[in-house]
Amino acid sequence: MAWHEAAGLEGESPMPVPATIQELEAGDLDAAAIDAFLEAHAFPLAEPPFYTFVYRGAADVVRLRHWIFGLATSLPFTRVGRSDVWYRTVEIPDDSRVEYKIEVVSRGKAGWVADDLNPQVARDPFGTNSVLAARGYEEPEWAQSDPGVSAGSFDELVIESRAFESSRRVMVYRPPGFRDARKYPLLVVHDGPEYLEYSRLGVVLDRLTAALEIPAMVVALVPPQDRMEEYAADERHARFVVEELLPGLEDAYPLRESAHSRGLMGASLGAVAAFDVARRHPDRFGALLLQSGSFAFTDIGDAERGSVLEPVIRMMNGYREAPVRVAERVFLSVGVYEPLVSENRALVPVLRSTGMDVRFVEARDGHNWENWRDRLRAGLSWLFPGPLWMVYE
Amino acid sequence: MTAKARTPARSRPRPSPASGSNQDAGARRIVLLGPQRDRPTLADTIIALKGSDVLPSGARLATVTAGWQDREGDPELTPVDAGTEVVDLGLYAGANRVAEADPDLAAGHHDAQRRLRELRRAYNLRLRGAMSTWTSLGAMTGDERVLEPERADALSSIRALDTRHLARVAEIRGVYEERFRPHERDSVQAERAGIEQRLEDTDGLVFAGGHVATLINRLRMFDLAGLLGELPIIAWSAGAMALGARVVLFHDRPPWGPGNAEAFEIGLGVFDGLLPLPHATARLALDEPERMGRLSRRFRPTVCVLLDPGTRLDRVEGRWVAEEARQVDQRGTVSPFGALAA
Repeated sequence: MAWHEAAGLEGESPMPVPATIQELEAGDLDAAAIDAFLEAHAFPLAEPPFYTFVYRGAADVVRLRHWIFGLATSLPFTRVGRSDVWYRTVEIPDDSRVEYKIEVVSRGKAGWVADDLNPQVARDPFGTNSVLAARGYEEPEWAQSDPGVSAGSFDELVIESRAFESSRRVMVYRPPGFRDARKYPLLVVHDGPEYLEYSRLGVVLDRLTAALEIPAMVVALVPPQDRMEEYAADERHARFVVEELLPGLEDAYPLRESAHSRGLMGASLGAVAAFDVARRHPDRFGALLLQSGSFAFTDIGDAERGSVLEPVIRMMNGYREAPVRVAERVFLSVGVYEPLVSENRALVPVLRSTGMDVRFVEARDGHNWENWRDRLRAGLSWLFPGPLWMVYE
Repeated sequence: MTAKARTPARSRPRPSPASGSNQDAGARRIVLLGPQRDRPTLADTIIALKGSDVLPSGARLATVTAGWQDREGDPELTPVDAGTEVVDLGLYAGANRVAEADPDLAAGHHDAQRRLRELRRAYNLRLRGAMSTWTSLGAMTGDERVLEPERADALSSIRALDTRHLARVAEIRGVYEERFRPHERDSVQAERAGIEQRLEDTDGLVFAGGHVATLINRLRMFDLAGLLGELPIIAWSAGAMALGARVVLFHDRPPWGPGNAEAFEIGLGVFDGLLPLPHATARLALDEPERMGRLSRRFRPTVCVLLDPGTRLDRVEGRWVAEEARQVDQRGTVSPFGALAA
């Protein structure tokens, strides 16, 4: 049986009822029995590669709402007898990490809720999702806060931007042990505050620096004001970064002068913004860390993907037609469960054709901040290898 | 200082012109140790050297901890036995003072370092291609009479690339030294005089690990090789690497993926014939004989020695003898270290 059939792309799940659900069904389906059942198990029920999501509550319809591109976005649950327990089994490959919510329709009203039975959650700017960690997935240890590791500090830099005709506030991470007498590499991070909050970028920088896996570096965390416009291949943003932010940072911090020691980073539309800055100024940044970039393009005709992506499509179509070297090295990552996977895959040979050193990583995850967090070690340490190579204690 | 039982002065450092050379014909006692953090053996080694009359019972040792940068001089880095006194040579702090007092020299040094970084990037780019070719040839099947000479030639190219790279390193440094004459400048001479003073009445040197490039730059700035006299030396990790003929960087398991071992620098040349590989079990893919064999063949006849925690190698009267040390042969097999003529 093909796995998409097992997962039940349409209609009711054709999967066999899990043994644990059968046991529940065979017993007394009173409240006490259900309480005991819920108390006795961890949810979702894991029988890898099958995972059973469970919901308890009054409802007319219950559905699994997930962010796995390739599966139907809405997978209906089955009710256990006449109880208020519902379940849905899905086959999920090892090493996957899946964010989801449960849609509950009751008395004609639909709402999406977190899975109360699963304590694992992820936050993003839109709220909280429940998380299924399939067999093999482990949250990286290096992304955990460690009181024994020195933490960097943060400054605020205000740039009066002529490009945007407005003030821009930028947070700047200074590594632990920062000294004016040293020269530091620079990383400019798009959606910087979100990376800090949802991908624990500060912790990751502290940990990787302490482990000597990246050099001590200065990191500028740049928030947009009108993200959908400024990050969509907007010439003003590139001008702001290169002509205003970079000189401002160089005035305020001891930074290495060469492009080799400068990098741009971003996720989703932020990756497009990072790439576009490098494309417009190919001599200024040596390293690009592009995560789940919205690198939309067309081979013919209009994509009809909305006005936000129109300038991106124009930019990408032009680049694909005449690709040029925009940096020395590019780390590209994408989740295989996000719709952007094909566009990112398609970009790899185009980038490589220009002679850039490109590393491409796919993960069994979706378009979310924890996916981007989990790839930071591989990306940052490859783009900016730390003194680990040089240190023999 | 308390009164100490001392042997007669026999191995005091002798200042020499800035030569960088430290030919001692194998007479000096050298002890190479495994990393000290998780399994410290320095104190026991000193006690053993006192027992065999290499060090006096109330020994005074000079330590070099410049590889630890800001932690230089921290006694935890060199945990000696109770009857031993230590004085750190302060090379890292000394170099910082030189940079402050002599901005011209500092600027020249930074410029030379920038050139060396660029050279290193170019070398690594060439090395990556050359190593990839050699590895692919190793996996190629066919008529061995045809293939084997090709593999041998690929290896020769890599060895020549390593040699040429180190010659270019020396050339860039030579241009810097010719132009700025660091050893003749007041700023450096003042620090070097202080180092000589701290070396007075010491019975041996201890070279700790740390950042190997930082360490070797400081050793070279103050021409420490010219101040060693015939003093016995104990060294581990980056300290052991810096004292050999070549400094080879390596790590088969960094988070960015395995790279190629890199002929990084010319060492002080206090000993030759051994390539110290500290933290070998943690850093090397010892379970991949083909990879290990390539490492060994690339640097032969220098013997690749694994300096894991607990390892001790002694050069005694011109021969290396070992306890617990292991080496890698040309087939990539790891075996106990055999005695080796220095």
